[in-house]
This record gives sequence, C-alpha cells and structure tokens, in this order.
Amino acid sequence: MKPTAFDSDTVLTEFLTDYLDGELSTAERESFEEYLSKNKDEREFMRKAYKGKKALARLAKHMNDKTSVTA
Amino acid sequence: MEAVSRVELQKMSDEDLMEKFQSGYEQAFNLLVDRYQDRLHNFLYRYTHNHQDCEDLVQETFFRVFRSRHSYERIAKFSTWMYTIAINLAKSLYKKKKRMTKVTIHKDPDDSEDRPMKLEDTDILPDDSLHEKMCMDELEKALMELSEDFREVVVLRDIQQLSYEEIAEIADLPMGTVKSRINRGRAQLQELLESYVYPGTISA
Repeated sequence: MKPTAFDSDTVLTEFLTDYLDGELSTAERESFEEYLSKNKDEREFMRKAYKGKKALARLAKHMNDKTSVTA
Repeated sequence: MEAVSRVELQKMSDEDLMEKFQSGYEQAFNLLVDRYQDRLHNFLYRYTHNHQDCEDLVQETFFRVFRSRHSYERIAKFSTWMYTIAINLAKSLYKKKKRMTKVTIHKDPDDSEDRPMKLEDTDILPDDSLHEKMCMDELEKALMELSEDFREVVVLRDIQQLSYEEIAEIADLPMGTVKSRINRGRAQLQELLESYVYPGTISA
C-alpha cells in the first residue's frame, strides 16, 4: 500500500476517522473533501478505508444475524 | 447479604453485576456469561479462525474472570477488562501454536465419512444465500490476511463496536495509533478484497 500523509500526520488521521464516522461538522467535512479532491493518494486511501469499513459492517451484521438465529 | 432476585440482577449493568459477584452472588457471574459468551466467541473467532480454540478460550476467559473477580475495579468497563483477558489469552495461544511443529493428517481413502456430495444435499444453499456466504467467506479470508496489529483493532472497532478509548485500553496503544491502524486495516482489507476480484492489482 502506497504511503500517504495519513501515515505521518495525526491531525489528518483524526479528520479521516471522524469523516468515516460521520462526526465532522459541515464546514469541516467540506474542507476535508476539498483537501481530498487535491490529493489523489489520500483520496484513494480514504476510498479504500471507507469501503473496508462498509465491508466489515456487513460482516458484523452477518455475524449478529447468525447469532440471533442460533440463540 | 441482601437478597436480590434474578429479575433485578438482569436489569443491572455489567459493572453492577461484577460488584454483586464480588460480594458473593454467583448468579451475577452466570448472567455475565450469558451476556457475553456468544459475543466473546465471535470476537475470538475473528482472531483464531478456529471454533475449538474459541470454545477453549471463552471457557478460559470466564474461568479467569471468575478467579480474578476481586482484582476487577470499576475504573474500567467490565467488557474492556474481560476483552483484555481474552485477547491476552488468544495472543498466548497464537504464540504457543507458532512454536508447535505442524503435523498433517492425510485423508483416509477408506474413511466412510469421505463420500461424494449428493445433488439432493440439503446443505446446498439457494443462489442469494450462496452469494452472501461466498462474500462473507472472502471477507473473513481477507480479515485473516491482515497483520495481527491491524486485525486486532479492526475487529474491536468494526465487529465488536467498541469505542476508540476502549480499544486503546485493550490494545495498550495511544489513541492516535489505534485510529491510524484502524484506517490502515480497513484500507488493506479493501485492497485484499479488490485483489480477489482483479488478481494482480494489489500494490506493495
């Protein structure tokens, strides 16, 4: 995986985490999206992290459904 | 000791149950086992990928909770304390297994259980369920391919839905590292999933 600014910048990591959790204010979100629009590698990393998070949410749901069926 | 009914116990928080257990109510411990045994099994399965190991680890975790009940203090959430015990046990088992010599047992051709699949096999899944199962199998495979450092935090966050604070406490890592590993773990997982669909596309 390509190194990105997220590897070394803790503030950017905080932004990304809150962005994926939907915890940014409108102004913060817009400014972060503007940053992503200008930085291809970081945008690609965000896309993968977002998709990975969604995939894991599906797995968690699948596991919970299985647990509630067998409970 | 003041008598407490099962109904009252059931309404209690995990931490209150632990306090009751510390004061001698074994029924409170049983309720904690009821609340957590499935979740703990699922959590450990992401870690070990082996149901038998999970069973043993779940049992051992609850045994340690039972034995060490007086060392629990309300500063930590009960779940954080218990997951910490479980993850330490899983890590020890992982290390132990790595030290063990692998022995492969080949299939016995005379084994009566080793029969060809019949078309009317009731285990065959309809298309949608089969597709869903295949997706979940690939997801699990990708999860197991992540390094232990990433898998641990991703499972705690996205499967167990623990807070970042709890994860930092369990993994004994600074919050910034936890968040960074979670993001990297998710991104790597997605890369792996994409590489299954488009082989040869994964970047170093």
